[in-house]
Amino acid sequence: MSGHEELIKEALVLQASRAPSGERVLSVVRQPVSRRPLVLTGVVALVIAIAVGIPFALRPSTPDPATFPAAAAAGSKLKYGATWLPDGFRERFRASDTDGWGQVRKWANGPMTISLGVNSTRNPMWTDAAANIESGYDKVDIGGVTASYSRIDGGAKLTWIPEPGTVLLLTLRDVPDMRTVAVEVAGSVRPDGISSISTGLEFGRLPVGLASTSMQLSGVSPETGAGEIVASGGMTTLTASLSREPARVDGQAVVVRGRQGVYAAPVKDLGGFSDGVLAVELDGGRWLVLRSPQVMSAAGEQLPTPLGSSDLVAVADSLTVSDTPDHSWIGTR
Amino acid sequence: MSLGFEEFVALRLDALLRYATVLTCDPHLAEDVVQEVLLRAQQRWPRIGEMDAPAAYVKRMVTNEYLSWRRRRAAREVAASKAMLDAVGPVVPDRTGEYDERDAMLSRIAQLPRKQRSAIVLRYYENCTDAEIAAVLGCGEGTVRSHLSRGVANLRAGELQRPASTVEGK
Repeated sequence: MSGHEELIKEALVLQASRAPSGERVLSVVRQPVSRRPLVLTGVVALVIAIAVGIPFALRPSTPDPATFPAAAAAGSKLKYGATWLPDGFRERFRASDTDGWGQVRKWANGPMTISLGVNSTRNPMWTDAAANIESGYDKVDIGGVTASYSRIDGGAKLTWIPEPGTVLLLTLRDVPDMRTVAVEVAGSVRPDGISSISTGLEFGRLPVGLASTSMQLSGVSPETGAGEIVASGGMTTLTASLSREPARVDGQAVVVRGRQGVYAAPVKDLGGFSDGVLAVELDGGRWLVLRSPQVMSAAGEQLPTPLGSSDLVAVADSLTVSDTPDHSWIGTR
Repeated sequence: MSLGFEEFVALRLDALLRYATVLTCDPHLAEDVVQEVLLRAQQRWPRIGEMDAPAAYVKRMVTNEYLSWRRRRAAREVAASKAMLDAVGPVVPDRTGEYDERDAMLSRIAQLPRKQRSAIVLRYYENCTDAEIAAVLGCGEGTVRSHLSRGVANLRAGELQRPASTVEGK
């Protein structure tokens, strides 16, 4: 790449750092439909944009390919957890970005859900969290820290900053006596650092331009736990999942990890969305499935998949797969 | 259990806004585009949320929304001036020649024809191949190469035409 092209690249990364805060978008998408404005006004967005700036100059959404790690961590420690939940709630979902921020834990009891999100104030979406909490209509005390409580469609949320740089978002859906429960759960939230997400998967080699971005583990019991890791870059995303749910894939036979696997080329579905899929059954009745979503054109046309059969097989062959991922927490308090 | 819409937004909104900001050369338009997309995605979330890669799907929605943006394009699509870039940029002293060069380059990128600009962004920010860019722009790979060639040439020409004082100030 020439010096001129390097300058183009650096300029675009600088432009990315000027992205606006997500607060106004967030406020709109969380409003009831009848209250949504048609468009955003520019002045406030401009002020927010001015406030964002520098911290994200070093965090472009697309990392430099030259810096991509050869492998990604198989697990991530969770920063916070709730030590009290209403009767019947069981933990069923954990997710985290690879950098350890953007974490979510979710507990459910039938249709009722409680989720705890952990975010960084370096995230533009949360840069103004302190001011927003301070200007909230319904403020409550959570262990000596001011939190902002508000209703959202079908639920409620509570936002507070337990320590500098960290924003916690507690979201409740379909839970009776929402405010009381929210405050009680929030009051029980403590730093964790022990609980983790053990997907059982770790990327080895990745195609140039892709980097590990996130992971998640979900299920209703340890036996049903399904781990997933995601790598992305540019217009390309690659997902690898490990579960006991048999993959129903019709396609061509391929050899994956020394076994008979199946690759299905992208097929347009009813929603106009299609994936390239690679599936193989591993020891113990576990299924490894890799997916690379189809890129669609502006006109909704199906386009050549960015990752083909050989790419997916190469990624699958280089994955580290654990025989003993920790699913013990799934379905427990 | 799939990711709920709210959790998805919490995880992905900042990355979507950065991508849209680079694509549109306009933080305000980027905000509008992302908002429109998320409102539509929210309506369809029961289906999108069950997809294996909802983030990739929503990112494509952002791209498509920008490429088909009509409503406010005429009012919005103006060349980003140095003053505007300064206004929305970090409030820090302008200490390095490198910083000047990047801002000047951004001004030139913002003045490129839209297709050329899109091709440049997809190649140099998103690291897309010719085929991927062709897919997004809905044209052939030859056209993509033409957009890229002309875009880079226009940017280089703009660089060469900078006032001598700017060059000397490096």
